[in-house]
Amino acid sequence: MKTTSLIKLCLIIAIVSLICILLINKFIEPKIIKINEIEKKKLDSFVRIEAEISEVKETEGLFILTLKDETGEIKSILYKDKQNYEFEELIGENLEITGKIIEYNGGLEIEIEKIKAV
Amino acid sequence: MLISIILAIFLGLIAGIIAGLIPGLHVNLISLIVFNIFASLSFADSFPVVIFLVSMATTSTFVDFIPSIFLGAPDEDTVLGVLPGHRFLLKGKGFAAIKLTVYGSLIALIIILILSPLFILFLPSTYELIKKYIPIILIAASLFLLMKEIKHKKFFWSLFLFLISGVLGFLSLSFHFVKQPLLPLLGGLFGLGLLINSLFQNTRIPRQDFSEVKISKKEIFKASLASLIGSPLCSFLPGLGPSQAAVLGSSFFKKISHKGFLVLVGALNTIVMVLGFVALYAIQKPRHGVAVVIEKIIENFTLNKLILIILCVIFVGSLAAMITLVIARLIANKIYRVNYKLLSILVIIFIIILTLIFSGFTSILILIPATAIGLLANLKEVRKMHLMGCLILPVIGWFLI
Repeated sequence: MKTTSLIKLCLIIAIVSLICILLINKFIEPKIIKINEIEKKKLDSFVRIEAEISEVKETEGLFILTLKDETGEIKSILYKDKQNYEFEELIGENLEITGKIIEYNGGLEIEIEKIKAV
Repeated sequence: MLISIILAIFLGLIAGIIAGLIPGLHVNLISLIVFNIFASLSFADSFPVVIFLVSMATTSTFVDFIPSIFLGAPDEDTVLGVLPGHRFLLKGKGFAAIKLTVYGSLIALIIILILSPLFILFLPSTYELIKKYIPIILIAASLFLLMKEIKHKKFFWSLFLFLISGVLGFLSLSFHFVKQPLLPLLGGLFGLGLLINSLFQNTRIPRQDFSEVKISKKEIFKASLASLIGSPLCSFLPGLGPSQAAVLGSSFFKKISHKGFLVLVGALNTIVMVLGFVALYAIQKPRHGVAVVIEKIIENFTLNKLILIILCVIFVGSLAAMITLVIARLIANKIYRVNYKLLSILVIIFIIILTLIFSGFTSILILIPATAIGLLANLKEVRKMHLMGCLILPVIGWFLI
């Protein structure tokens, strides 16, 4: 294959793949799971849960939220620069939370990316 | 305690040799596996695990020039656009190239002893001062590196590849369906791109000779000074690594020979890795994957522990230098008999399998564009450091947005 054809092919593959990733990330969301299904093998994966906020703590750079559903509860963090919420008003509300499973101090937590009212 | 530390040093040395020799198996990945094992077991003391990671990371900075010089070489027509190490290989001087990088890594051990106390004393206050300017420094450094391509008439492609790598980095790091996105991202950009390119070449590796490599004291001095200048910034700023440090450092000199450049990259590879540990102590910010894991597992990172880590680096570095030369000699002896295309295909398959295992099947969605971009950089003979836009642009975005 000629170098110029190979360059064109690479450009097309790169651009089409980038568009695919963008579309998949925008339109396909991780499937909803229950809090008790969050386990170590899901570390670094993105998950979506339906839960309510039961407790809010505020630190300098982030909010620490305790989320609970009918199967259990889990701590989660939200960086202050990501979204601004009046969390006290959201306590008890049913929310859909998307985030990444992370490990902190030996326990699993969710690093929240998006919060949506259900 | 002493026995467990000695054991950790030697196990780390073995793991570092394996990580260094197998392309695609980066120390960051092994660190992550070690962390998962560490988290599932209960260790009475985490420090031997830290020493294992330090020993492995240090060793790999010596050994990993073996595959990067002996694999992925182009043919004679395109040799001008590639790394000095490959030019040496195609002239039958692959072993000499490795020897020069080992010289560099040994010089790095001395530079580490000079820079570490300075880092400990001055980095916390300096970092506080420049923290808010990090995105500006990263933008300025990237622009400076890109502008250097104007005289080689590669500015447009360098800029394009820097930006498209950055977009891929942004999308990959926020992609919901891939665990460990760095593995397909870096594996495609820096591994598969190069290896696939070598499949299109008619590479014939000549019989290697082992005659002494001569380098003047002046060249060694220049390389040492360039690494002393280039390394501090790249050791604590996110996104900048040894290749950027090499170009930044060598910019202070009118000309550095290929031999000097190999000494320089050898030195910087080791310095940037080890100063990453010192930066972790000084400013509590991990700047590479191994430091991220160390930050998670180390209890009470004291100055005594840092001194032990640096002593371990010096000891392991001296051993790794000898081991690297022995392995390189063995490989250089056989490389001209190897079916180069077959070897490249086997390594490509290995990297793909490794990525699928650790990052899942969906990682293919990142691996494909990363490989295409990596291949484009090879075809257009653009320096690979511009592909680090995949980390630099997301870091700039993270600070600014």
